[in-house]
Amino acid sequence: MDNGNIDQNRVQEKISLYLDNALDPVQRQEFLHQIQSDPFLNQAVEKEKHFRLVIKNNLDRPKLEPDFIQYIKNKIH
Amino acid sequence: MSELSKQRKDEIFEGELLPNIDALHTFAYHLTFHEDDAKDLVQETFLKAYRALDSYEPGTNAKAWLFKILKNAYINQYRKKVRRPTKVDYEDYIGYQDKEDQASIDFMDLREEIFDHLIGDEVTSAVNALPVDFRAVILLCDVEDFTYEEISKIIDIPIGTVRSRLHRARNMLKEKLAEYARRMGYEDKRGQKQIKNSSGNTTFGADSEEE
Repeated sequence: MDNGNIDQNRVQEKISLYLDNALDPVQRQEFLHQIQSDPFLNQAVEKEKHFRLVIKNNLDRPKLEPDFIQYIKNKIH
Repeated sequence: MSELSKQRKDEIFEGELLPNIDALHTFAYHLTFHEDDAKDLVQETFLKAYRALDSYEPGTNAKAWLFKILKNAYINQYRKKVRRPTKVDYEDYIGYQDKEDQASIDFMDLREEIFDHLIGDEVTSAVNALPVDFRAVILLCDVEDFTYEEISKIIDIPIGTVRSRLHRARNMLKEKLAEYARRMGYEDKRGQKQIKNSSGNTTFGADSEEE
């Protein structure tokens, strides 16, 4: 992998930490400034946000039958 | 810790534990791939949680506590059933690393709207195709919004491992979804700004009028 790819991976990791609220306050503030001043970085952050929304909104969530809660309660008592 | 009365236990159960039932069921379903197994796992989780309520401090993080109980129950029982391979072979995975790093770069090159054409089935298949250790962190972080620290406690791995596993899991997922999008003809033409749909017809993105 060349240096450009390594840099891109690092940027992607930083974006993940930012979106996961895993940067400390100082790092977060610095990264926010970078996002505001770099349109490409801003676009990459938006793309990552969008990707996560696609995952969250489209993942199959099978519904439980309405009586399942009562079934559990009956098992407990 | 003092023993709770039955009435207090029932109050906590109703007010703090039961509201998490759908989230637990989604997690269980994507761990087991089987509706009945998922329901058994959820039921077992609530039974264990109720019995252990004396060790739970009301008003704290019931959701994370329940997810940890469910994860332990899954490891103890459901991993023994070999419905699908669940353990990551890290030796095999090492060879995958360069590929998934490239996926991150490919993803940066893809146009955002390509992913709008994906439907639930493709997303679900891509998530379910991840090895279980990678699938779990995606489900906990990107679907259930747990923090790294909470995930670390739920699945008993260091925070640094949560972070690296998430990074790799997301890259694997991007690669799978980008591959799917390309297979279906949703190619990124950039300069031409056109997207082919699955029947081979060419449609134009919303910004095609700019040209």
